[in-house]
Amino acid sequence: MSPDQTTKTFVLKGVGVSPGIAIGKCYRYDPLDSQISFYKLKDESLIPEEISRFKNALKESEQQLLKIQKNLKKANVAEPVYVIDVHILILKDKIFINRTIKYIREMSVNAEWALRMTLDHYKEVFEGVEDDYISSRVSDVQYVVQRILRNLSGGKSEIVWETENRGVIIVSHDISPADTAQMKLDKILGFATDSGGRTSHTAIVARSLELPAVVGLDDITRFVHEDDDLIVDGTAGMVVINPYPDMLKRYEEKKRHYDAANDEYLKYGRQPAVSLDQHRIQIGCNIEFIEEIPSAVAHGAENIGLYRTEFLYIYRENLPTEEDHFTNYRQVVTNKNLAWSTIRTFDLGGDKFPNYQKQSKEMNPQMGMRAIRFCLKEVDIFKIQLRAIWRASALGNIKILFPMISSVDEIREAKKILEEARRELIDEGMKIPEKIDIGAMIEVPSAVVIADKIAREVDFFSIGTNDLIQYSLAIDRANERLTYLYEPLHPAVLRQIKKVVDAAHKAKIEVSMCGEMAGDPLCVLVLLGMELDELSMNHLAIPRIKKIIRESTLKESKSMLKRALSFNTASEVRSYVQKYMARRFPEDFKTED
Amino acid sequence: MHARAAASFVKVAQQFQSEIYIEHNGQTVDGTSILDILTVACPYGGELTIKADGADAAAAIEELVKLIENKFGEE
Repeated sequence: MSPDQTTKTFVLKGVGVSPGIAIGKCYRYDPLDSQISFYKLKDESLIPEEISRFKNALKESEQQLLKIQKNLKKANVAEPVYVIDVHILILKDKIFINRTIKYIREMSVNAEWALRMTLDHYKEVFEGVEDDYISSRVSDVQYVVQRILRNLSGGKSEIVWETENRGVIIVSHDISPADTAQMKLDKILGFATDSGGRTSHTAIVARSLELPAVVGLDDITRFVHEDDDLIVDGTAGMVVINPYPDMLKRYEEKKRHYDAANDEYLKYGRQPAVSLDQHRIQIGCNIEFIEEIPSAVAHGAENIGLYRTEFLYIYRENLPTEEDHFTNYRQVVTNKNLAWSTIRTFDLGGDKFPNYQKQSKEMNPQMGMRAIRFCLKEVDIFKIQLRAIWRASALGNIKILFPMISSVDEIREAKKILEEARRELIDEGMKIPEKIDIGAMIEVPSAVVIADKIAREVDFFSIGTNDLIQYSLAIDRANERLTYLYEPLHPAVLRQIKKVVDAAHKAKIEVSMCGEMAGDPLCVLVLLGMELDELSMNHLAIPRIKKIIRESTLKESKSMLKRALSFNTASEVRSYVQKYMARRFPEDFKTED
Repeated sequence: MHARAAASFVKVAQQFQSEIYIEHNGQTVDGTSILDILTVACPYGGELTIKADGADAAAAIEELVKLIENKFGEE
């Protein structure tokens, strides 16, 4: 059947960041609605009516915000509830209100137009403020104006978290934490956005909610309309707009398969990752929020292989206190289902710190003053986190992981500060353990080259493939035009991983991998053959990875790796590995028709 | 002043009958308007003057000073 004229079928390709298939109606989430009509009032007698229309919209907006706030408090969301307080106060700000009414009255324009002028006024005022934090608060005014505009326009554009029962697929340019904080998440089936990558906020939220998502679609917002039928294939990184009936049927079937397979796979999650020839590998989970722990455990995580702590620092105004850190870490370490938790000290640049806004912009922040470099410079900020980690280590099994190590000096310096933090705590009368396992994140090529030297300084390695690939292949991960070069199976990447594993084992320390590669089913046998001791990944990937390991042998993976390492080019490696896996695990690697 | 602090300030200021003003760097703004307060951009550790005019002015000042001394109830 061919598509009819009115609903044209489009297929857009993006980056699949959260697997699965979602089928549903499009919900356009636009930060600023472009379909608002601005007009002059026909005559002055209409002014009072227009003013009361504006006041009603204010009232409605306030009611909605109060409701959202109540729901958020009930849901115990980690996002800051006070933001809504600020929005309500803006709504009720009499200077804001009077200015808008003045525009309506003096210029005889409709409320929409008047509001727009008020917003423009505030944009100008906020732009004039030197403080970056303050000038970016114009986004709060914008948010409030947008909500009032929505209420002025009446029925349409009720926001998704207030819609009726059917679920929707959110289509937007991008989705920010402030947006998701207010979404009614159980009404969402999937996400499709113009921008973003694997580590964008949309991706993280989608994965933690187990909702399919495709990002980096460039201009889906231009093609799609409200209520269009959509298919989001987060596994393949594809979005179909207005699929024709046969296609829809095929996808519905695919979705059933996927969902069934998922339940099937979950069974593997509960079993250990032991190969047919009894080689065991630890399976960890990467988390960013403590809220992710239950699904990590449910999917079969044996430990937390990477707890990213950056979130504790961002989207807040002040630095987190030692108590803030401690409260979070305590909940991670006291979970009885987890053998240990690896806490990675924060991997942030100076620009994320409230008191550091004045620093000059870096041309190349990925290679800039961040992670361990920043920590070694800002010892006071660093120590707050280290103290909290020591204190939590008294309650459970913790390993500490330092990011972006590029030299022996850095790891020695970090260890020195860690020891200072311990001494301080002991002097304060705290009871804390003698020792904590210390790991170096291996993600900078220089660390790979001197892995044997670094191995003597630490208790374990954790290979961060995302950055290691970016730095080794000189590919900016954020540059969408270069994603075709980003290749975990590049011979140079494989050789580096092998070198790191061999150096670790020679020094009798354990080595784990915590990048995206560790959770990629295609790479499992390659990594098994490398004899990594642990793979840490996002929770959704765990059951599938365990299944493959349980159905293979160390022996075969070693000979497969040997073969993979013999090729000259990344595409040869990929095609070999793909064919091997498809032949060996036809169920798991169904090729597309 | 950060948004959270400004919000706390406005909430307290609104409880009083008196007119309340904030002065910073020669700029005077309405102490019950969150947008006004935000745009004076008083930095952390900066100095500001609070003025109140009305029947409950003294009580208002006392409460607002207390709020600031308690770092806006954040600690």
